[in-house]
Amino acid sequence: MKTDSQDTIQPEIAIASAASASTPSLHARLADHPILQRALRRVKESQEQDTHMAHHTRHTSHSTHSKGVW
Amino acid sequence: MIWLPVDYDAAAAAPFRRPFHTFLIKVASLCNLNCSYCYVYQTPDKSWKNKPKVLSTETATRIADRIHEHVIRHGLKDVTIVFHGGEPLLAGVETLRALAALLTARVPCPIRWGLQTNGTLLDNTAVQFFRDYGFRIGLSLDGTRAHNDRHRVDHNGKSSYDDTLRAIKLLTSSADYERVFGGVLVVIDVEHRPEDILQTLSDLHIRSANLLLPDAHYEAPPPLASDDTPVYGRWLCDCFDVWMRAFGHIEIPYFEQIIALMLGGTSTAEEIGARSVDLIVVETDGGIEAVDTLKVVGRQATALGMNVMSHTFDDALDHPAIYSRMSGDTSLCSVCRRCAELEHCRGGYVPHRYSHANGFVNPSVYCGDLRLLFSHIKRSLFTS
Repeated sequence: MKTDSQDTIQPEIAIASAASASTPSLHARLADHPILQRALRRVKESQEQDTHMAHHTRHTSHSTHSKGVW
Repeated sequence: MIWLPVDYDAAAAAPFRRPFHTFLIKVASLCNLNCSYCYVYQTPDKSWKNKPKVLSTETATRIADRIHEHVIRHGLKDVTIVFHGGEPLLAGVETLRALAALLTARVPCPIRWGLQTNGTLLDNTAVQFFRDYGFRIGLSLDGTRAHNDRHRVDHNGKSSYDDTLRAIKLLTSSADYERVFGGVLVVIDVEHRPEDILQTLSDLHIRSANLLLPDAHYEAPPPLASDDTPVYGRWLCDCFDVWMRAFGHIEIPYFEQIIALMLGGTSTAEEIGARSVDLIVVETDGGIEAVDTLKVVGRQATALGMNVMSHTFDDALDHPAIYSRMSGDTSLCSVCRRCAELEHCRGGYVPHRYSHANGFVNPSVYCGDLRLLFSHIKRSLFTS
């Protein structure tokens, strides 16, 4: 069972992680923006489990949010 | 013949080849709506007229057995099965329940269930079925009543808006509604203001809304498209700004997928940034298709000459329509492969690349729009 804290990426950690992977740096003022939080969660999930050879592809005409098992 | 092996190098694609994890099953071939932009009924592929109206038990059993052998052969830990149409609820809840039971009994791994509906036939019985099996439901809603009524009407031209709103209220009536209600699809109409759409969705407590570019290609350009102005790109940039400013509580997977790609993530969406699409479509007659949205191109794009009655899903993996989408960059045109936005785009969505001259070996018909959006997102979010 995940806790809330596990679902929330600390912005500074995520940004540092992104920077270390040679990706661009986010504007600091946006670090706690909910949109960025969700995008960073996607990145974290893709780094941990959804490599390009493991994920389930979402069909463009099936709408579903990312939270949970999807 | 569109899908020529000579156009797609199977050996180069091999590192990206993988088993299917997502099975989109057409459980009903008809729809009770007559939306103006529908890729099933308003396009050159009229094969729906000759397909069974509802997936039969015999065909469903064969599909289940084919998924079973695919799971065993590749050691899959889980699969996604999406019931799709037409309008899937036209099959009736009891039929859908029987299909889900059949698939559950025969597929030897956990199943992530999904269903995409227009919502007009949704009732408490359907919601209970979704809860029983853990379905994640997507609805289609374009925004305000005026937005919706412009395109989403029934066969008599009557609005579907009230019925769809009733479905949304039914789905959102429980505290844990996000377990069942995945979100809505919004087909972009550039004559509608993004803030009006997002405000409507926010008022309806919708937490996720994906944006769909109208299905189009070089032979059937997008509505109001212009050679001089990237009208869809401008609309997407406006929508992005409004979203960032005031509607961040609504997830827009299309934008968030692009942001995640810019941060080094992987695309899980077939329409943007995808290296390896593990999605397969099965029609109500058992016909296997790469993806149903190719109907906008025509029957020559969707017909693979394969059916679950005679072909395995591994057979489908050898078809260029399939492995060209599991090929990293190797099936893209030279313009895409040289593009600075390759990592974020990967040619966009495959139907959007079609031309009579080059098949799918083209940049997206939305190329200029996408490049504008990518540069806008980069400027908005990242330091230079």
